[in-house]
Amino acid sequence: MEALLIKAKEDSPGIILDAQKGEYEINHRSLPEDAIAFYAPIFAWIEKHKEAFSKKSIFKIKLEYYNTTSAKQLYKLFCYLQDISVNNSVEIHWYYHPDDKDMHAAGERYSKLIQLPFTLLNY
Amino acid sequence: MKENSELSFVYQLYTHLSAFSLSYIYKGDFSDHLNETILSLAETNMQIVNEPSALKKKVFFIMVESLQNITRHTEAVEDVSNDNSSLFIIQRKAQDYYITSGNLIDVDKVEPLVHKLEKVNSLDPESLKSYYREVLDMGELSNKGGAGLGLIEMARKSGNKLAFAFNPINTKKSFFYFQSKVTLSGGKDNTLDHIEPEALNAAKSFHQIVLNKNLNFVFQGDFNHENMKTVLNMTEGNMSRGNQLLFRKRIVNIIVELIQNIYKHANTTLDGNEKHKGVFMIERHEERYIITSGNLIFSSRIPALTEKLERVNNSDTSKLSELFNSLLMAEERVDQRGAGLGLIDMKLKSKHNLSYLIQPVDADFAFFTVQVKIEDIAN
Repeated sequence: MEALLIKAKEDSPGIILDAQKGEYEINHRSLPEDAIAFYAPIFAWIEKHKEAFSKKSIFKIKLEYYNTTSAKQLYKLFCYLQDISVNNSVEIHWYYHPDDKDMHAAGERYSKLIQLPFTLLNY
Repeated sequence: MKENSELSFVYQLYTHLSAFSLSYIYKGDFSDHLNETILSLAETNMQIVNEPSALKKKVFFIMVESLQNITRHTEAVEDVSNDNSSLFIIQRKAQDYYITSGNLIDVDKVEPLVHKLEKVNSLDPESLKSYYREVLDMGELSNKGGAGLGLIEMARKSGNKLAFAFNPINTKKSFFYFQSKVTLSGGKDNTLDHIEPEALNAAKSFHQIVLNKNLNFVFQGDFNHENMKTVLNMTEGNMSRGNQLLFRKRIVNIIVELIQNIYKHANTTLDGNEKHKGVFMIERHEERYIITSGNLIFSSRIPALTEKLERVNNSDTSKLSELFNSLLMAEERVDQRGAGLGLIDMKLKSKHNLSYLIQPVDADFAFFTVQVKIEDIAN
């Protein structure tokens, strides 16, 4: 199973989707010119490897900042994961800087909209 | 909340600058980091409009010299009641670039400077070349490393005479405006082009508006993702370390939403390169930022936009949060226009209503201005 690894840029997040290692992460910041186009391959990868998510896995969101068009894509991501999760096999770990109450609030927002185990963590 | 008529200056400024395809002004402290970002902003724009590399090189050279002049020769401001901060302007009209610097100098330096400038302006390209060697040989270097070599080179590279003006501030200081015009064909003729007083006056009046409105940064031109990144980089590098992380991030947030709003939604009558023309400005204080954008929209969009803005302004935090959630969960449309998440987010992050003004321009277009204020307070 081929991993999807995208390096972070100044305007787009780093992506780690590695089923073999069981590592799933979105990091850095997300304000790409076209958020829909940026996230499309991520959704395609998840769709293709959905059986990997039927076992216990942690999806880490370590974003320091994202724009509102990315917010919509993150919601879509969580919906995808929710759909393919078997008995809550997928868990979301949402990281935020202790001084960043906006990112904390954003994590809380998603945790209420999504039916997956959702943990807020400091980084 | 009603529209804010005080914002009408934005459209005035937009019209004032409309003779130029690009106008950029920065007023404030100059640092190496800032100079780098100013250069990269110009570079980004020159790449996008696909300027010939000979022109790019010349513009770059003149910009670097101008920025160095500002950092080297600016006198400390003693009178803090007036804003005599240094400034840097770049404007593009057709194939010409106008690069203007402004800084405070001691009045006793005015006369020797005028002498040097007039000497340079009196020479044709051939004599400038020999004058350059002459000055070089004499090793006539001032303790700040000036001696006019820079001025001679600027005249030679630009192919134009150097425009300048002094604005006396008090008995000790004068504000020095200095402008070079860079043309692609410059330097190839036997004579240098004459000074265009109207170009220098345009830069001076741009400066005046910026002073009156207390602005630190204005960018008018074609907006895109690349120049947004540079604006962000510049603002982030310029933010006070004393500011809280949350304040800094919220500013980034607002800049991204406003500029993406311009490059995704601005409508324009022009074809070709200027698809997303708009104006963007920042008024910066230690603990407060005022960020404003303006662009044309189709008149047909006025009712829907007004409704959205009013709904955001009339909603409290919990209602906004509900609204945000419902838009987040709404079916994604191919035409992303109008989700309105950005407007909600800006009010949630800034803790202020969005000031706005929609002014009819003609039968088809209106000018839309939106302003966001944000303070560095602990919440």
